[in-house]
Amino acid sequence: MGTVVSLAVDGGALPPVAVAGAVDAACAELHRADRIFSTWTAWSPMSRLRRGVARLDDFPDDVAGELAGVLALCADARRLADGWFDPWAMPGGVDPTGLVKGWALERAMAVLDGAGVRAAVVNGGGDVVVHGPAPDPGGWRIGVRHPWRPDGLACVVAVDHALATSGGYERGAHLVDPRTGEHTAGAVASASVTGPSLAIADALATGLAVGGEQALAAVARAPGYAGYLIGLDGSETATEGFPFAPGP
Amino acid sequence: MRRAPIVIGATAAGLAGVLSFHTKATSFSALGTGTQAQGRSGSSGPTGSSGAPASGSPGSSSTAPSGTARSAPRPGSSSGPTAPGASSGGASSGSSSAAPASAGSTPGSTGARSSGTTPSAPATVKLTGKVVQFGYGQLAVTVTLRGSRITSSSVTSLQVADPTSGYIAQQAVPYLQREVMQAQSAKIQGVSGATYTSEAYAMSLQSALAKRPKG
Repeated sequence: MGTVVSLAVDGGALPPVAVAGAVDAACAELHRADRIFSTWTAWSPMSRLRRGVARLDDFPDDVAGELAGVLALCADARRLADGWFDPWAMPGGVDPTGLVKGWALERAMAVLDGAGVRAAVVNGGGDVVVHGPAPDPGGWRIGVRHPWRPDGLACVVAVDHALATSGGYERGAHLVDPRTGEHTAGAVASASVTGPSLAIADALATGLAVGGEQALAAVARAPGYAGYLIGLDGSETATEGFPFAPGP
Repeated sequence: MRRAPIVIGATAAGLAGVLSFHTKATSFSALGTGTQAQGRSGSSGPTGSSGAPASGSPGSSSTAPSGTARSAPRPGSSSGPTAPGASSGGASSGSSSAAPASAGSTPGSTGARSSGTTPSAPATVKLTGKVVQFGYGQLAVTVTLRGSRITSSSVTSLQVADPTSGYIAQQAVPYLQREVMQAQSAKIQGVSGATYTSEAYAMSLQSALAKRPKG
């Protein structure tokens, strides 16, 4: 999936060797997810599935189960996004990339949680999931990068669980419009979604980046999720109750 | 809409947070980084930031150096090379006490090994990461460490495909350098919204940190 993941871990009462083991296991989980779902390598299970040269039955049960689980999440996300996120509309076959990074990051966090760490932040290319008590009483605070000022934040978000941001800035046309199948730089400069699942938030942010305010209406209806857009003209729009945090 | 006057960039915030937790080895590939963090019992949280005095607040960062070495002394380190974590051999306890140093005071980072008249003082080490390709060019990061603490980072190699890309990269890189410093004091735990430049920067930085001597 071609991104950098950073893990910040507070082991709490765990001995350092246990924390190191948990981080290793979390990283192994990320690499495993990458091997299954990468659409950058032609022969990953996901790549073979999307090209139609393999079916779910062709894979071991555990791999097939994860592929099916992610595709089911994709279907949920497509519905919640009112079609603005649609892996089945991607050129070259079904492509869960807009969701699977968030999914994998949550898997990594689940490994850390299972190992008993006190608190952690897993951040993969700006998709962020948090766990445990924040270092400050105010809770977890995650900045949203300003789309045009690399030195600035557009806002700070009080995050309970997950925050995903997508946008056309710096990357150019890396999004695909599910209505046309064409590449697009998106309708907005930056699109962020918070909610109880990073996988879904990741997918909704991808959909928001393509659909702009039309897609924001869909996010507003998704239970537990909230969205925040910065338009191409710099205008800001957020759903009711988007958890902006007070400044420092 | 609340406007946060924080000056900080992108993904590397969490990375520096890991570093303040005494990072050991790193490795990475397509997805995921093999960052090994050794947590501290009873610590102040993932970024180690809760103990950072207000003087290190991000708002002061508009005057921060862009990551290159400065000779200004670290505040509070009146007697030279005894600054961070002198009580703990591994310097891991320095993540809070030394936090305000991020804005405007990178201790001299010239030699491969400079400070060290006091046996317990962590040595200064300069490491260069591998050249990483990104969307429209490539870069390599050099990081200077004192113990487990980053004292400066800089891009020692930057090539871009065209003038527009060059403009973006020239803008982004100083902020990424600054961010590596500030993440050790900023009152946020991460930044959402990444870029090619910041990902390449973080990858090269991590490969540099992976070269750190063990222990």
